Amino acid sequence: MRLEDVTAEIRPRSDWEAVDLGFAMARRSFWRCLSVWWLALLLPALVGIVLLRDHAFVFATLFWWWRPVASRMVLFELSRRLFGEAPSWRQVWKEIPRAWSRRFFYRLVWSRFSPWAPVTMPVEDLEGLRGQAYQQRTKLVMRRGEGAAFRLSLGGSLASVWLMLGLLGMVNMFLPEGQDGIFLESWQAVRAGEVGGIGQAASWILVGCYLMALSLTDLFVTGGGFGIYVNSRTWIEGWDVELAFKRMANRIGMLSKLLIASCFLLLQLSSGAAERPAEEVIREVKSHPDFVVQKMQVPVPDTSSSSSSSSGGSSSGSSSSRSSGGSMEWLQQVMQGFGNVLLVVCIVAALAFVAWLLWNFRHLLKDRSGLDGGPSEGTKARVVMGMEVTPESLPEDIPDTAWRWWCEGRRHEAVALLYRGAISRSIELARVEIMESDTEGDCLRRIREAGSRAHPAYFKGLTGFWLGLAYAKDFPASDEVQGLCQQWPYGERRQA
Amino acid sequence: MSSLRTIRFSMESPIAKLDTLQAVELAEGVEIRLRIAGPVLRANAYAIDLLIRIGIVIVAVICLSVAGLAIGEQVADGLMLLIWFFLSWWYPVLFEAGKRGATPGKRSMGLRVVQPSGAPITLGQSIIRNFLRFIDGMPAITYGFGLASCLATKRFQRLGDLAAGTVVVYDRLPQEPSIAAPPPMSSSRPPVALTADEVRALGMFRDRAGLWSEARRGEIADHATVLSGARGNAGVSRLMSMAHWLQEKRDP
Repeated sequence: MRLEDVTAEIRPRSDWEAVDLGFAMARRSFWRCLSVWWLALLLPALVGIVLLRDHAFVFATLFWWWRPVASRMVLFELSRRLFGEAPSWRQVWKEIPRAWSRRFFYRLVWSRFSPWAPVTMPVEDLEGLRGQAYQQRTKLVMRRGEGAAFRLSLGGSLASVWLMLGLLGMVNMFLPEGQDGIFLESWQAVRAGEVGGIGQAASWILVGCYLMALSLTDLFVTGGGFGIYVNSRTWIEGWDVELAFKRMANRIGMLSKLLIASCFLLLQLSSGAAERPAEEVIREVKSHPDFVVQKMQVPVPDTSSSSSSSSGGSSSGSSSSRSSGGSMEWLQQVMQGFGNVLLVVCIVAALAFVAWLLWNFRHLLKDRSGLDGGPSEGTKARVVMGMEVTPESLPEDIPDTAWRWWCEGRRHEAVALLYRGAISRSIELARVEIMESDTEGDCLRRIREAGSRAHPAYFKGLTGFWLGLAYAKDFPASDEVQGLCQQWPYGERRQA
Repeated sequence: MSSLRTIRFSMESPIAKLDTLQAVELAEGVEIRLRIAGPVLRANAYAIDLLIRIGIVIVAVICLSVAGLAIGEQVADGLMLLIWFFLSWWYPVLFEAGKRGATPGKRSMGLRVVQPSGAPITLGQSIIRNFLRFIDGMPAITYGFGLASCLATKRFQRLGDLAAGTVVVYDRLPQEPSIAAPPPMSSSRPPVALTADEVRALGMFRDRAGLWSEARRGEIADHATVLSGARGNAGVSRLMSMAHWLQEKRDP
């Protein structure tokens, strides 16, 4: 079970809203659930019909007794579907024997009359708990929605009988005039107090109606119980908070990845840019007069000859050491130069990073209201007044298209396109900051504030026509529209 | 009116998830959500209305049988028929077209009939909606059609609702249990800017933490390690202090 794959909105609900969600789940895969329900009871039903063909009511009672098995299969289907899986027929087929055998005595005998079955069944089937753990868990889960579960299963039993009557009524309605003899006879038999007097055909119709009603109500009762169960767990385990935290972690994780990536990119770019200058700098540094090897002849003062041999030895040693020291010094200088360059690069990169950080989180510095989640300034409005204004949603050549539509008689659309296009182009080309929540008046005000680059005069005229059309169904004259198309000031200037 | 609407802050998710809400976008660009009511409570409401009407009829029968001595048997019978007609056809119409938009039974169940836009229904809609009960009540009087239609449509509409363009919504917000954790010692600002959705999640984490076991609290907090920078109990207390900071800010 991965909470992210859930296919229904997870939020804490009231008990009855939870039941409604369960109903909606059952409705979403209604035919599938219905077939699974019947599939679970198919074999015993066939055997029962053959063996008990003279005892329809015994068969109906048995069938009613087996009902939890079918509910289990519906639950299997619904729970898998809630988490985005779609069990194949093979999986369903394999699950049926398990649905029959799993805790047979407990589910089909001991707690067969339990009115909380729709909620306890998920605990048993989906969490696989037994004994003490099961008891505790059901108590915990049913802290929320116990009353709803009780009323749901009670109402379900009532509704199945009620629906059976409805179905019988429908059968009766469709019978041709005078053909309801079997019903009349049965009715007389019942009134005379002999239930056995109900004819076989009539009793099988009755049983058939009941089974149909039972399957229909049980489907939704199971769904409703599962809804209560999911809602209860949402409350006691904070599923919705967990999901929200995961979304947040994703978002912030993306943000930090972006941050690191851009940091790397910056470093690489700057170091790449500094590579060649580094060598030049080294050469430059090396060409400095300080680095020119100065030669100077110094007259050696006459020293004692006794030290000549030793001095000779030492001089040879010192010269060798000096030559090696020279190379070391050179290397050191080079390293130092290189280090200086690297330092500069690092400082530049760090400054750039700080600047980027400041820019990215400027709302934090400005004031605390940045946390109220207002639209960030970087994002452009995509939908204004219910009209899509992204450039992708618009044709390439707006005035041309609009004029063509006008001529084709799609006049409302034509003016709408002009207006929509004008807003879109103002956002794109003139960089007017239009919010998604703006009204026509707001748009006009913002465009006016943006100055002449947004062509406020043209937009004002267009807004006038648009308002007349949108709110008063007042179509502008043809030449006015032609004028609007010809004077289109945003980029593409064409002859309409 | 505000009680039946929950203002939506969260961002649109890419995949439409199953839900029982009806989203309505208002002219100001604000989206509200109506909480559509399903068949169980509506059946309950109907049963209550039925009991009320039966009660009225019983009282009327007693009164008229006494008055019948004075005004004549046939007049009393005629009046009785009139009362019955009025109760069965006009009782829901007048109540639902009224200010509260609900019959007494619906009101006791916390339901209300509205248009899909959230506006109150008109008299015409109320008439269509309730006169079609005759069809919804078929076959016989079992309301089989109404129930089937209710369960088959996304907004739990019976045939009368579909024809009149109305929905039944929950009118009352239920008391939500929230056991807040003890107030944190410190309040700290979140390290990054949070969206409204995330601010709400943090608030909910704090308000409902009392319902969860300590281990579960840590488990949930571990999903927000990016924000808190710590795992387990330390993460929980950091998230709490951030939630505290955010809530402090909201209600000074």
